Amino acid sequence: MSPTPKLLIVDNRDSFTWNIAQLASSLGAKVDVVNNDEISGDIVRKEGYSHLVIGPGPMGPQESQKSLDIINEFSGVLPLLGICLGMQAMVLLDGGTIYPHDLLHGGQDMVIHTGSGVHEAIESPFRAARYNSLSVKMSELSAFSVTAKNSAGTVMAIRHKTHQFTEGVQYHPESFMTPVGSEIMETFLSYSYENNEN
Amino acid sequence: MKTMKISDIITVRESYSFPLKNDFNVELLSRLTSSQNGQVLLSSVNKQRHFGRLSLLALNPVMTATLDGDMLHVSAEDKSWDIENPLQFLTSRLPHKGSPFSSGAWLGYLGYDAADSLTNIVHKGAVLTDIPAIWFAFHDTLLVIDHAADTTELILLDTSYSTTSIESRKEAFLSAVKAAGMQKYPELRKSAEIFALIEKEEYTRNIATIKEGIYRGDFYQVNYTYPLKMHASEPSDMLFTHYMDKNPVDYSAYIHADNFDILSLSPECFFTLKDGVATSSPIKGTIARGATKELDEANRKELVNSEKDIKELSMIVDLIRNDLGRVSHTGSVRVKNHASIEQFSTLYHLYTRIESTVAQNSQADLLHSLFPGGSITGAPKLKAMETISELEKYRRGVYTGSIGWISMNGDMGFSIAIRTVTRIKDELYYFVGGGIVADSDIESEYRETLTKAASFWNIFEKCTLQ
Repeated sequence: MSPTPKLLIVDNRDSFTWNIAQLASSLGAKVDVVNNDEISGDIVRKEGYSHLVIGPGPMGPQESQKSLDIINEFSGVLPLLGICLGMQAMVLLDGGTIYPHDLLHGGQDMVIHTGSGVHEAIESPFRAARYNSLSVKMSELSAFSVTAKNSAGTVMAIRHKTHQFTEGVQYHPESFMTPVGSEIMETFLSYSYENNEN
Repeated sequence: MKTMKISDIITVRESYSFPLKNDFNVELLSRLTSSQNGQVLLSSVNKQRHFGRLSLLALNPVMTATLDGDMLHVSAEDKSWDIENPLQFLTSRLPHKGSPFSSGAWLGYLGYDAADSLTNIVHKGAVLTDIPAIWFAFHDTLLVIDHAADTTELILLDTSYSTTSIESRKEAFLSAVKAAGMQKYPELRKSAEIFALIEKEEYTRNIATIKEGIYRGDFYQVNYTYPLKMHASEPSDMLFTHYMDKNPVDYSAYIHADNFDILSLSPECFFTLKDGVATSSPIKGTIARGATKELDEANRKELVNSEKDIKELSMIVDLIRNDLGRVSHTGSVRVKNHASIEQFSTLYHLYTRIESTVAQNSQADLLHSLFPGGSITGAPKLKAMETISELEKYRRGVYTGSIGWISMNGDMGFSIAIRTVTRIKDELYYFVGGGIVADSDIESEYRETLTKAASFWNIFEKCTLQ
């Protein structure tokens, strides 16, 4: 993982944002947190961030303020990980549906994955914490592939088909109930479009 | 503008410590507390934990600090100051050496109402208990009982506002102990009546609204509370003594202020800070002890295996990790003893311990990041608090805030002020509540609040809920 990743987390007024920050900084990243109504593309460019996380949060993705603009602007430009609401924001922009389904709050679920993207280094299935009331349904013309589901078939992770480092997870890698969270974050922080072009 | 510090207001010229025989029971300590306004008792029964094992009696206040709007109003003798950053001031320090309390401490509370100015989410309910949102006092006479080490120490400070000599205060203390030891309480009356201050329909409607919000994705948990009221003519120290006899807990508090008393029977540690290590122990899930050994074991097992309670607790654990993580060293936040059982005389609780290390001099940031405690707001905290502020009919006052101490060596200890009575004249106000989650059943949540309300008054033979 070199040089040192510089991660910006968009805080969607959540109570788990700093768990993501702790997770990433304990892996060596330099981390900043910015509120979803204060973020702008200018901030990201000016500060030279190498990675972006669109964090979890209350309500639906239509209320995630400027998270949506950031996804639009930086997907395919910088490695981008959406967590919970952050993933739902990606799906909203992609024309998918977000609807009340398969609620689980503060419990563990088994995530079954395809071994691609952030899951490449971990076993399938794995245990992960969930905090969602809403689930996603991908549109038929979606630009994303579904890379993980739970046993009920609910989408647990997505990856952009052409922006290879744009990914979303429905579960919470930063929770103390997700033992492989650190591996997932480490893989994400290793992403770089620049390395790729070299 | 210069930031005010405690050292700009008070000096501790000398500090003397006298070992005493450990024969102070709760009754005696409560009596001593009631002898003068502004005195505080933080009482514990624990022999194991770091700070849960300390009882502190603070007599003879020389300085008080209360929140007035967004400003901290500090007064000593006939002087007063209005200070802009309450937490920065309250965590500022005096030169210190020796044991944690040898240079004095602030004892008091941050009421839930302090969240108005600390988080900018203003609770829109009506005022029920008109008391300061923050109240602390600094005393020149401290009794420190360490239940684990079985030591009792009388600390006497010569401060710039102390009016009596150390020697005469020591004499006065010893004769007050003697006098208090000879008093007798009147009989406690047999029965009590309590009145719920909201109707069941309102409770049911509000819980339904919260559940809709949960299914819509607004939050995972909201702690909804409402008050009850009781008339009492018994002295507060007597009531406190009876409570602690019947329901001993590790984070109880009795504050005898000018126009009000606080009687807090909390089993829950919000957090402690010792030598830079912060520890928080949120509680979720409660079950009554069984009457027989078999029933008791069955109840314990039921709680340990309660998926609903464990999920409720887990959410708060992730939330506290977040609140600690914001101000803690990278990688230092640790979850210990997740969903462990704690045993009390009448109840079992589920709790988890979360620890982290924080930078020196970050006490104010720590308080700011943690307050109010996640176990009494719900998660995500801000959205849950907004909902609380919209739905609850009454402002919480001190209830679900935190009661504790801030030492001049930088250590702190705070409870979550649940099971807490605010007394104004002879009216006792007391809140009950619970965490509402997706699978909460409205009827059984309501019954649980009534059980909590009635069992709180188990010091009376009979308690009728009106």
